Amino acid sequence: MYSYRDKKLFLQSFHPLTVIAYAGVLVFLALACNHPLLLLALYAVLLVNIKLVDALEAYKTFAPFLLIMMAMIILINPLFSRLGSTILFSLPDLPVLGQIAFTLEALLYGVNMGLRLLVVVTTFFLYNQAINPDRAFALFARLAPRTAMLVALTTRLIPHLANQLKSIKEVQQTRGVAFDQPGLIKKISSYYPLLKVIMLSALENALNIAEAIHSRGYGSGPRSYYGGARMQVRDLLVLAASIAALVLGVTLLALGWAQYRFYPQLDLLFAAPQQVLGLTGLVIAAALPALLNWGWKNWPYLKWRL
Amino acid sequence: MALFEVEALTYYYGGSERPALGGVNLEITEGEFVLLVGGSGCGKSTLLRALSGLVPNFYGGRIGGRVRYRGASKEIGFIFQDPENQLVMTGVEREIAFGLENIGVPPREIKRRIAEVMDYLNISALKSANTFDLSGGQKQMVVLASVMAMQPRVLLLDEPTSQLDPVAAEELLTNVKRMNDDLGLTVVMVEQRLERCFHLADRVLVMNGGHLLNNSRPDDAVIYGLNAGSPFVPPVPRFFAQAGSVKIPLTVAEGRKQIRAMLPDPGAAGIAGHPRPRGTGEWEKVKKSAASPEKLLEIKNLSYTYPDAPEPAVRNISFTLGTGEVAAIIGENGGGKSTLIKNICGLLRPQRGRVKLSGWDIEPQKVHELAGSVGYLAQNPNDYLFNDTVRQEVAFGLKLDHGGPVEQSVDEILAKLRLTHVQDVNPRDLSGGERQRVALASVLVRQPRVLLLDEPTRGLDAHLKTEMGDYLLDLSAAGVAIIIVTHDIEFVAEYARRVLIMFDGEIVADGDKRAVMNNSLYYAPQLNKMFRGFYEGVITFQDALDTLKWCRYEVG
Repeated sequence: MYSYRDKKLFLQSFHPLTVIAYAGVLVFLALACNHPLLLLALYAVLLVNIKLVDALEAYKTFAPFLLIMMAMIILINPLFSRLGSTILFSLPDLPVLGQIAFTLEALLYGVNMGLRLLVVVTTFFLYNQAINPDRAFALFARLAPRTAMLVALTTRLIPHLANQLKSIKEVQQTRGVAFDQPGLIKKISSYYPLLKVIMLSALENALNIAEAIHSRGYGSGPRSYYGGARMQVRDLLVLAASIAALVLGVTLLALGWAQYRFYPQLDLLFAAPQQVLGLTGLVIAAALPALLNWGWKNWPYLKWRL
Repeated sequence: MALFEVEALTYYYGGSERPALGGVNLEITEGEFVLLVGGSGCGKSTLLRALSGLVPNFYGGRIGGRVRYRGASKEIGFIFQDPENQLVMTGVEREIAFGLENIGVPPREIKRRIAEVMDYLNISALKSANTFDLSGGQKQMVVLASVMAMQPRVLLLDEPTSQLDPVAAEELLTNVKRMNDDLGLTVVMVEQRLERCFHLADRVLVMNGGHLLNNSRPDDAVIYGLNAGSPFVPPVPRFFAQAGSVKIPLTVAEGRKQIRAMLPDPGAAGIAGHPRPRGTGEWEKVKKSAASPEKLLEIKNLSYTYPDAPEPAVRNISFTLGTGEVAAIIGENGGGKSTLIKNICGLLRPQRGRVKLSGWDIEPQKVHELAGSVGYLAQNPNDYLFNDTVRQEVAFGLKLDHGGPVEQSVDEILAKLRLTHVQDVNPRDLSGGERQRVALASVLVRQPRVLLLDEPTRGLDAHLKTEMGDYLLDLSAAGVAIIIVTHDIEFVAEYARRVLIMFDGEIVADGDKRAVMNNSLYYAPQLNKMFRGFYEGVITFQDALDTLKWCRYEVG
């Protein structure tokens, strides 16, 4: 479900380096900048991209986990933050923590932190959906052959394990194990055998896989590299846009325009009209893959050229 | 000159005091097709690995004697049992490229070889497919392609079809034979589906206990097998050898010719399509049930649709099963066989229709509550094994239920399935056949009244199959109703009494095996195909012998 499916989509056709550069710049921006509108816009761009790799359904199943993480950050930040001047309500004196005042600023700061985390995690999700592990393997195999092999095997293993888990659970049920019992201890004790079976089978299979790749000449001598993906026009465009976004981001950071001040009081959203322009440029650069996707779909000319 | 020369080869796996191979001598010449047969643990896989160099290079251990190969080791290709454990990449194209990259073939050459091998094996359509989405048969074809792209001179195969359905297995074997003929590829294959590959081989090697017992042409191997009481002889040649024929045909086509010569012309004698005489062996395999059969399982208008599927996987299924009945469900892959039995054991719940057990609807009961009355043996015995000893494994299901003393029932079932001597061994240290028995024991220990088996003979050798069949008949005699889902037509012919054919979610035939399998285009056992047009209703091995006896008597 969370693994890569080749659906022959435009956003899945990029060179692995391009995808890594693009995702890297997005993560950098999300971590370095804290302007709420920028973060929101980046998140919107990411959602559009996820829709374009046809992974919205998979993302939805992932959403509860994200929401819980966000909620925790939003709640915890005001607990530990003594900053902010607009007090919403106060709790009675607590041991260790002392007097706690929930301030509007701390709450919004928490929301913003959550948003930042959301952008970072969603970028990784998009990366997984957009990059063909085999092409990534071809790229990394030159740099770190052993690690690349390990990653390739692991990638293949995950959906396999998920299937295996399902059939082992069925077997356990038909042997009389009840999985829906109340109580944590009972739950753990019913799931424990599942993990044991999975582990034992995985160990046995590991030996078989090792034997199979050994007999196919793995590690027998100097290797060659097949079909490292070629850079296309679309890759150059997105790489250029990623670099532009990086330069623009650093410039805005230096000017203090990529930051937003929450404490002691909420600041104005924009300091100058140039800031709006700069941020807009940043978002447009980040949205280039989605824009190209739209052009590629609607204009035959772009389809041939890209 | 021989391509392989094996001299006095003895081998011990690391930590083992028992030799896996004991003094094997063997020569294999270029372009030969050699079939290696024997029971599980007889050393055939080890011998194959010794030819490839995996033994001792990969496995370590102690080796004596010599294996000489006239060529480079990268010219030897190896295909293993389970395609799942041989694929390492996500995409098919990269999978085929993987081995070529490992031996340093330049990228342009890799591209060409991928194209050629995919065209040769007719799998070009899979080029951009994800290996995870392929069927078992397609996966093994991709493995074959990725090994053949490396242009080996020798292909070693270790039970390559054990995880495949018959159609996919046939396709794989046909391709291997074609490459043997076209390309002069030397083939050494370990295989259990003897009826499919005995005739393909130039030579058959029979092994037991690490020793090479027979090394001869296939027809001589049949004679040897019969004299030695070995189960590793396919039904057609076994029949002729047992009937005392001098010439031993290996295939159905050759067998028909032979029958024509042995029997009077059916047209002239007016016995074309003659009903088979009722011999002594009519219900030979069906032991008398203690009680008269009563309705145990009743399925009425059952339909089930998977949540994300547009069409039902099974629809309007109705049948009843009495105590002691042995029914086999056969049919294409994806025809709904497994879905149906999962509905019976409660893993899936039908959207329409009822499943009744001794007159009671199973709907209100949960799967684990049904476990005591409906036993389910899944395809992979490894899915059962997690306890530290066989004894604990077998007792596991019972302890969940009772909490009380279970020792006596466990002792009984261990003895019945001949597992007492390994009761303190870790089940993961057992052979494939023994693991299957442990899994079966852990299901049977709860004394189910209905037993459902999903592909119980997959990967079993001829001897273990006979054993499995005999257990099932014992259970049937004790009143257990048994449903076997399988592709193994020969097994069904010998051991089932009733056969149901499923197609596209429906039951298209249901009845006595003699009615359903006789003259079936696809679901007829080999002996039935051989007697087609001469005598009707030959299903089991005993039927065939009886028919012959009767003919000789009648015709003189």
